[in-house]
Amino acid sequence: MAEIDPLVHEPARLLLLMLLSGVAAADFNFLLSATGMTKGNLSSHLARLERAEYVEVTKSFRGKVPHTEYRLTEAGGEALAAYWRRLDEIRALYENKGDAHPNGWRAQPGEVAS
Amino acid sequence: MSDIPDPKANGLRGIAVWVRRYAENRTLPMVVFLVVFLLLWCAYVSIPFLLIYAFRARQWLVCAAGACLLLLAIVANSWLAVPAWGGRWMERLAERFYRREGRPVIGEGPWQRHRAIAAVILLLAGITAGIVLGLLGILPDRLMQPFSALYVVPALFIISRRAYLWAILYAVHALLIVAGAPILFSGQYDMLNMLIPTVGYGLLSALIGHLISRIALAKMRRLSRQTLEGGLHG
Repeated sequence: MAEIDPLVHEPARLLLLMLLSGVAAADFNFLLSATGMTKGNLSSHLARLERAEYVEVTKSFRGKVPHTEYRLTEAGGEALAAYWRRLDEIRALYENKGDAHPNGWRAQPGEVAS
Repeated sequence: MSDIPDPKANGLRGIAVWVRRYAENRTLPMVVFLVVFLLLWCAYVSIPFLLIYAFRARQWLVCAAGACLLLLAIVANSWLAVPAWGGRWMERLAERFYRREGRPVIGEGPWQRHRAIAAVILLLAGITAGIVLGLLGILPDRLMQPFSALYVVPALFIISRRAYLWAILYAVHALLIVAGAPILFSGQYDMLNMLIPTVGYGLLSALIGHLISRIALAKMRRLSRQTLEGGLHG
């Protein structure tokens, strides 16, 4: 079975990818306002997604104000789709065994790629 | 990427739908634009009455003030009608209104510019045909709005699928008139027959859109908070 992508599995990064999957692009302020994260935290998560080429960054100026826009890349979209597929597979596995976690699914040690 | 957002999902998977719904319904600048348009219309209707009254009463100061106001309304209308000015103003307005919320881009598709041109051509052709048929006496006044629905409704759909509510209300209004429903204004109020379906329904649709965007934003933020607190993961 394919392993879960740890980069996507982290809640903050998963949230960012999901937000970007709903629109063509979004600026930094939108992601900040939608997630309620701190600027530093958001920047670091976006930087990791950018390094993995899951997110594409466009820097420009709107008048004299710098403007940074983020968009989900094809690789990011595929990683996200694969993540949800894998999650559904694991959930189905638990349901078949009849021992689903009472509080919903959580990644088990060893299932998450290091 | 069609398999990513799942509209049926109530959890994190549903957030993409709420984001899109929020982005599509940021209609506050449209509300302002239509209110300005309504005020201009009120100016066009009321100022000439004021001018005539002042002229007959030899109130030259009021007459001059009325003429200035009318000129101002014409200049403002012309300015709003030019996309490079009025359109840019709408953009700046949107930026100001939604500064704290940031800017999501929906992506209307590669044919957006072509669609806008097609809609403008359709509207111009329809308006011209309506005027010509009206002047020739072929098109009675009471059928002006239903006739206009033949080009306004497709034009609204062509411009943006987000204007569907406006288009539906416009079409329903036209059908009711054709069916003989008592919704026609006459005499000095006959201009309302066009004003209500255009500005009235437009304003109503924009206000509903704004309400939807607030609901979507609240839902989106709640899902975000739950995800970051670890309570939602799928």
